Formats: sequence, structure tokens, C-alpha cells
Amino acid sequence: MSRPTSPRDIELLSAHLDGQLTPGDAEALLARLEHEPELTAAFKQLQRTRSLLRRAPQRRVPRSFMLTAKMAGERARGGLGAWSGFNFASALAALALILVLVTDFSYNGMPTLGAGAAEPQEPMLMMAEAPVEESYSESNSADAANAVGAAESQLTEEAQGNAESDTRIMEDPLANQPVMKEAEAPTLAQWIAMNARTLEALLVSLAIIAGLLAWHHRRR
Amino acid sequence: MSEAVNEAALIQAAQAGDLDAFNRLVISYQALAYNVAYRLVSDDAIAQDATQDAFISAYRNLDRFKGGSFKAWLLRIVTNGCYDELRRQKRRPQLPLEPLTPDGEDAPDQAWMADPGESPEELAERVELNTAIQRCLNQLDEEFRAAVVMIDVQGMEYGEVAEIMKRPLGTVKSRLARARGRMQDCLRGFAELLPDKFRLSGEESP
Repeated sequence: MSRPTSPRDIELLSAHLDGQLTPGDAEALLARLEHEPELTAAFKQLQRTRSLLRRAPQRRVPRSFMLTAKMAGERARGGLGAWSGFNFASALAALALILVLVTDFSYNGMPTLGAGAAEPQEPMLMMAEAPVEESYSESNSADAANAVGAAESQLTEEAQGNAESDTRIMEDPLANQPVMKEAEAPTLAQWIAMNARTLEALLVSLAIIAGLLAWHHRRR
Repeated sequence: MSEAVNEAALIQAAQAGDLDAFNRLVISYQALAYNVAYRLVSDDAIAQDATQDAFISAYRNLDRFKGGSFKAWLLRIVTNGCYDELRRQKRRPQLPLEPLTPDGEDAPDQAWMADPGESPEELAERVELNTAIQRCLNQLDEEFRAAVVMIDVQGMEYGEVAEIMKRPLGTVKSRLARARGRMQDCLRGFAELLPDKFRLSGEESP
């Protein structure tokens, strides 16, 4: 019994027309075509439609589409030139923005810009001093207790010496820190710290200019 | 094989900035690109612009071509440009610039089809056929139209078209089948206008 051609059958017939069915599917379809006259009629119609479409006249090319040197030049300027300009402006804007943010974070994260290098060291120095006092008070009490014997006072002196050396040990890494900072980046850091506000304003201006430049390129 | 090697060499030279090499590629593909564009947008001027823009875009973006079928890569640029144009037309419908016949029909543009050695009757037949096919194509959605244009009208391979359309092979097959079915129905409507040999009747044809 033949049945109306379904979209699935049309798809099968269309693929069969172009030899796009698997051997198994093609065999099954051929068997059906032998017994289903409507399917055969649909196949022939489709075949004729495709044949008609293949006879659609080709339009002659009305002109040459070769690129002229001017077009190629426009590519260099209008294409790559504009894009590189645009990309450069975007990159500049992004860089300036990052620098502004980094500057802002670095210096605003630390209370002030000018004194920023010195201030954070104070609590650290205080922390370093605290154990020194303790060791001195310990050594003073040791002095009072050891008034009886020289041997004992010798021990106290040793203890004092140890305490002082301990203090030096504890002081050294912390006390050396600002010295190390100054030694590593003395002038540049100070200069940046002193001119941070100006630099920030400059970078913001640069970001705005670069952003405007990028926007201008995009609009073009 | 040697053509493929030659094309690869031209592409490489063009990527290095050799405009002459690129123009040799243009010569190879301009007829196909223009015909595909024309069948998709159904307007000569727009098809010319789309083709030229596609070649300029291809030249500009040649660095992005990383191998494979240059033809497919180029035609993807052409078809994308045409889709953009079709969408623009949908947003801003315009009156056709082509002259109309006194009865309001589009005047058949015969000059481009004139083929020396062809009789006036044959030319008339081809013009009728062309008009019928184009009108039926215009009724299809853009991707269905593209499938029919590239596979049936231009005789391209399924695989190439799948690459151009960036669709799986199965999708291309099914779109082509449905598009053929619609073209068949539409062309039947032109039965009276087409010469006998082009008619699609309801009966079986040899």
C-alpha cells in the first residue's frame, strides 16, 4: 500500500538523488520505490526539480572584482591601520586604567602617599621594641637578686649580654627592613610617592584620551 | 592536485601581502561568489557590492585563514554578507529600483543573459526559467535558499556547503530536501509561464 510522501521520505529521496544515502538505506529505499508508485512519482518530481534548478542560467560577472592598489592601500590604512590604531588606543586605555588602579590601591591602601613609606614601619618597630623592654626588666630583677655573689653577677652579665644580643637579633630583621627598602628603590619610590597624585591625574587623563581615541576609531 | 598546490601558494603569497596573488584568487572565484550572492539577494547592485565587500574582507582577514578550503572560507564571507543584507532589507524595506513592466511585473533583465549563438526563443525561455527560479528562491528562508543555491544551482558538494553554513551535514541534507520540496511546489505555479520542457507537472515525467 502506497502512502503520501512524508517529509522524512522527501529527505530520503533527496539524499538518494545525490548519492548521499548509506548503502543500507539506499537498498531499503530502492525496495520501497519498486512497490510504492507515489514514492516513485515523488522521486521523479524531485529529480526533475533538481534538473531544472541545475539549468538555472549563470549570471555573467558584470565587472572585475579584483582589488586595486587603492583598495589594498585602504586595507593598510583603513583596515590594519585603523585596527592597529584602535587596538593601540584600547591597549593604552587599559594600561592606563590598570596603572591608575594599581597606584590607587598601593598608595591609598597605605594611609598617605608621602609618608607611606615610613608610617607602616612604626608598629613594626614598636613590636620589635616590646621584647627588648621585657628582657631589660628581666635583667634588672636579676641584678637585684644577684647582689650577693660575683659569680652570680657574672651570670647576670652573661644573661644581660644574651638578652641584649637577643634584642639585637630580634631588632635586626625589622630594623633593617626600611634600610633595605631604601637601598633597593630609594629615589624612584620616593619620587613616585611624592608625585603620586600628579601621576594619577596624568594616568586618568591618558585613559580618557585613549578611550576617546578608541571610540573615535570605532565610529569611523 | 596541482591546482590545489597552486592555490595554496597563491594564498601564502597573498598572506605575505602580494596583491597580484590575491587577485588571481579573485579571478578564480569571482563568478561563483557573484552568482551565489545574486541568487541570495536577488539584486544585481547589491550582489556586486556584497561580492566586492567579501573580497575586501577576505583580503583584510587573510591572516585568519588557517588552511582548509579557501573556497568554503570565501563563500562563508559572501553568504554572511548576503544574510546581513537580507536582514537589513527586512528591517528597512525599500522599493525595488529595477524598472517595472506596464503590468507591474519586474522587467526581466535580459542583457546579462544574452548568449551569442542563442536564438531569441531560447533566450526567452531562459529568461522565463530564470525569473521563475529566482522568484521561488526568494520565498525560501535564507539558509534553505543558500542550500539550494549552492548545491543545486552551483553544483557544490554537501561537505563544502556544510562548511560554509557551519552546519552538520545532516542539517544541510534536511534543509536541502525541504527547500527542494518547496521549490517544486512553487515552480508548479509557473507551469503556464514556462516552456513545456521546463514544466513541472503533477504527472510523472521521463
